Amino acid sequence: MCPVISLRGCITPAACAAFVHVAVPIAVGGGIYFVFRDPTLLMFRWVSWIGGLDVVNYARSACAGWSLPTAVRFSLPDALWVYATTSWLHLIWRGHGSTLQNPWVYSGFALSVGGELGQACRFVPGTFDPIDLIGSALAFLASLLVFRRNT
Amino acid sequence: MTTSNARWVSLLAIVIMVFLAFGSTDDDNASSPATYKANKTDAWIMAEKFVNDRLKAPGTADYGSVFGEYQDPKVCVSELGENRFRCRGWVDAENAFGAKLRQRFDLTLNYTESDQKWRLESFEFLEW
Repeated sequence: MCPVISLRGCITPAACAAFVHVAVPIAVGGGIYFVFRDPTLLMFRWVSWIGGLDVVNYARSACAGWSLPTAVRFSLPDALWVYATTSWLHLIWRGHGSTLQNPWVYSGFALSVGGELGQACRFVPGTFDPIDLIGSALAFLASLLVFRRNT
Repeated sequence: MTTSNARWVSLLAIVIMVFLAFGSTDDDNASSPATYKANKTDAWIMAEKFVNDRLKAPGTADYGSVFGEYQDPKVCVSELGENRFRCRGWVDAENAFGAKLRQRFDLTLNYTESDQKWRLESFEFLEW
């Protein structure tokens, strides 16, 4: 059953699950980046191309007085990315056997861990942070729990 | 969904997610001191940080929000040229006695391109 009451009956359960477990985490993670992170990130150029920079600037100035804990500002978006990726792959492979499903479902977490380790070895741009790894692992487990419980 | 289709859709999903993650990396052009352009929004954000540094209880500072009184940087910030900005606004914050008061501030900032830093030129809390 769709947890978003207003969407109940309007869209299929799979689309509702995609909204709740994929779109919402990506939107929240992206929102944290847009509002609380440095405007020199590539995503600011993208949003400028589509004409959304005014909206982003409005949100940034409105939230400028807020301070988020470092873990929320820097690690939560990564964890939400892992949760959304794992959940999306779960949804795609729902109904298939675990032998087929598992390698795909684990790929989001593997990419995240690979990226972090790449940062540690300076192959990947960015700063290695063990909190990111812990957050990603927790997000991966949360997605596994949610979808394994429902299948 | 057939196994073959699921494989292709999974690949597409991973490509989309990696693309989104790529957006969180530094834009080499924007982070270059030569091309980053200081703007009113960034000046306002920095102004709030400088004001917070001068408050007795910065944790209680409230500059309004989209849900209440909104101080639009386009209105509150004036460009003085050569990366200098004048910011005028207000902040609600607790004073030393725990009373929440509104204070007006007027400050001037400048952005130095060579070291990518914002500096405070002048600062004043104004009487109402």
